[in-house]
Order: sequence, then structure tokens, then C-alpha cells
Amino acid sequence: MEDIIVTKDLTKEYRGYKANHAISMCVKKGSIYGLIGRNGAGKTTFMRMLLGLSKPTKGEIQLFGKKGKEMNQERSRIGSIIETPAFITRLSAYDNLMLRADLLGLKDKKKAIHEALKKVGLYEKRGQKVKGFSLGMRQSLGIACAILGEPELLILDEPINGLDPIAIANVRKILLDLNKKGTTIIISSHILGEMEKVATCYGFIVEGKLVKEISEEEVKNNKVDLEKFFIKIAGGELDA
Amino acid sequence: MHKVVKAELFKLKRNKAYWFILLLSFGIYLALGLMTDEKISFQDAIASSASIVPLFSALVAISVAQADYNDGTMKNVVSAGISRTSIYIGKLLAAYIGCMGIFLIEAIMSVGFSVYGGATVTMDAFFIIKAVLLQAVVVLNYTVIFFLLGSIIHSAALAVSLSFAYYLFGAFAFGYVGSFLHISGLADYELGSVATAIEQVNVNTVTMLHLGIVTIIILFFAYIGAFCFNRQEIK
Repeated sequence: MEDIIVTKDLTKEYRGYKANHAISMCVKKGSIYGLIGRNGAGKTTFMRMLLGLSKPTKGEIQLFGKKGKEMNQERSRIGSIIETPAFITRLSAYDNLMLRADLLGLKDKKKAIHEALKKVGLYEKRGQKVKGFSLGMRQSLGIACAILGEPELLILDEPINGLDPIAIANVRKILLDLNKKGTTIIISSHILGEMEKVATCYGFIVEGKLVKEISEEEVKNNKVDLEKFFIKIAGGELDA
Repeated sequence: MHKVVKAELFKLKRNKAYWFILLLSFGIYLALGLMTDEKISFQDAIASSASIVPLFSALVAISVAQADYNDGTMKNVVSAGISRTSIYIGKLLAAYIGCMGIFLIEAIMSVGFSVYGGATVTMDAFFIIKAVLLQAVVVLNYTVIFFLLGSIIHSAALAVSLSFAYYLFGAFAFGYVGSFLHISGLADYELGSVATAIEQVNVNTVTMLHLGIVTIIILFFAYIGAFCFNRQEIK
């Protein structure tokens, strides 16, 4: 199976502080990779490097088998949410997605935008300015932006923050549907219960290092309690 | 790059502040035209068109440069698979198109008032083309520098202040500096002297040198801006 993301000794250092330390991993095509770590562990930093928002201090990234300048063009095949989704709040939901569609060079822009908005339940609000949106609606719009044009790879940093249970279930359905069509997903979340429902493999980041990777089969076969496993790896205390 | 230009023009079209600036420049030229009794020739009208344009261009260029940083949407642009150099140049081009809109209003108003004042309209196509091209180069010169300042100085007020300072220096100070340093002819390279270059019948060495210096400035500052942007951490 093709490796969609490959990193070798990926390191990010800020003035002596290593936010990511020699992360080597690969994400297979068609998998849903759950990235788990405490707050400040380095998950977002890692995803930012994948998206080209931050330059690695050391190490290498390959996306879709390409590296260097060729790799940058491949980023048009990626949809993403990094931290809080950002929009031009004086524009409508539709206009914000139109901007994204223009940057991606999508062919049938209107159809793609309508589909994305319908999937996240914001089609009726498409003409409304984003400044009037609640946190959950903005998060949903961020997901619409990420899935616009059905990208081949989704990089999602805590995509279900601020969503109600119905919206969370909807996002889960969207991700599983896209994955069935072949989209590879790398997702970080603190809500381990949700991760267990979608992820096919997991990577645990502790203090900037990728310390452990396990597959969904290992979790099921060994009856691993993901929460306890994570707390043990992260070195946290578990109350009796 | 064209995707970035398209996206930026889409945003500019929906930016009320930009339309306000266009309306304001129209109002100012209308007021200036109505208040002055001095009749100017058609040639003078075209040659002097770039006088107040830089002031409004600073606002437009800095606004385009800083918009994505202020909205937090720069990460959306950079993660779209377009090279950073293309993003920078695309945004710069969009800012330039916006600034040219202001220049066109000034040019139309100046020419309109000169014709209204009884000036004879020249049909010399060479003169008109030369005038428009030289004015366009002057506007590009200002846009490149104002855009760079807007990109690296995230305080809009400071960026605008430095832009105005550059405009005053570039437009008027060369002559004073030349006098102080006893260098004759330095005033010829002021951006304000573009009017003289346009009025010359033939494109001569001075015109080409003027154009050459301005072009080098444009390329230099565009390169610096793209270089800085390539190294930025995007939040």
C-alpha cells in the first residue's frame, strides 16, 4: 500500500526548545491515523510542518511520494483544519468557501461548495456572514472547507472541538464516508472515545517524540483500553 | 499565481473600505478640479496624474498585505499547495491592480477637467502610451514598497507612516539631497520628475535610465518581500 505521508527524523526547534524531536512515521493510503498526545505535546507543530506552515529544523517530509519543491504542489490534494478554523468574518460562509475553491483551482466550484455545506448542515446558512456564526458553526464551516473538493488527504487538528453530539456524529459519518472513497486521514483529538470509532491506527506523541504506534487490530485483539494506555505512556497518574 | 490574484481580487471587490477609498479619491479630485481656476494642458494633465495616487495606494497595498494576517487566514492560503513566492507576487499583483484603479480615477478626472477647461486633446498615440506606461511603472514602484512594508511590519499605522515617509522622500527629496551634496541632476531621478520624462518628445537616455532605476527598485523590493515571506512561520 502506498505511503501518503512519510517523515524521517522530523524535528522542530524553537530557540533551544524541541517541539518535535526526530519523528519518523508513515501513514498508509486509505488509513485513518489517530495522533494522540497531551496539550503541548507537539501534535499541532507536526501537522503545521506537514502543511508547510512551519519549516522543519531538521528531517524530511514526503507527501504522495514527493519531496522538496515537488511536494509543495501536492498540498493542493490536502484538506486541513489547524487549531481554530479561520475565516474572513465579514464575508458569508459561501464566499469563504468560494475563496478556498479559487485557491484550489476546483473546476465545478458551486457544486463542490453546495455539497460541502450540505454535508455539514450549513447549506441553509450559506448566505450568512461568518461573524454571526457560533463556535460550533465555525468549526462545522472549517470541516466544510477541509472536505471541499473531496481531498485525497485530510489533516485534522482537533476537528470536533465545540461541536454538539449530533454534529460530532455527523463529522464521524463524513470522515468514514470519505475514507471509504479512498481519502487518507490523520486526525488529532483528545476525545479518545471518538478516535476509537474512526481510527485504524494510532500514534502517541509525548514531549515532541513519537513514542508508540499501534494498529486498530492490536487495540482490539489485546483489548487495550486506549485511555489507560495513553495515560500510562504519557506518564500521567490515574486515580484509583 | 493566477489563483491567488483571482482570490485577492474577489476579496478586494467585496471590501467596502476599498470602494470608500475609490470614492474618496474621486471626491478629492472633483473638489480640486472645481476649486482651481488654473487651466492645464492635456499633456500636463496626464503627466501629473501620479501626484496623490501614492497616498491612497499605501492604504490599499498595506491593507491587501495585512488582511490575511489580521483575519488569521494566511494558513488557508499557504496550505493550498501554491508556492510562497507565487502567493507573495500574486497578492502584490492584486494590490497593484487595486492601486491602478485609484490611478485611473485620478487620470480620468485630470484629463476630464483639462478638456473641460478648453485644452486640446492630443491624438498622439505614442505620447499617450508612453505616459500611461511611465505612470503605471511609478504606481508599481510605490505599490511594491508599500506592500513590502505592510508584509513585514504588522502594525498598520507604522507601515502607513513609513510608506508616507518613503513617498515624500522619493517624490521630492532627491533635489534637496542633490543640492546638499552638490550633485547636479539628482532631482531628475525623483519619482515626481516622471512628468518631465513623459513630456519629452523622444524616449531618450534620461528616460530609459529613469525607467531602469525604477525597474531595479521594483525587482529588488519584490525579491526582498518574497524572500522574507518564504521564511515566515505562519500562525
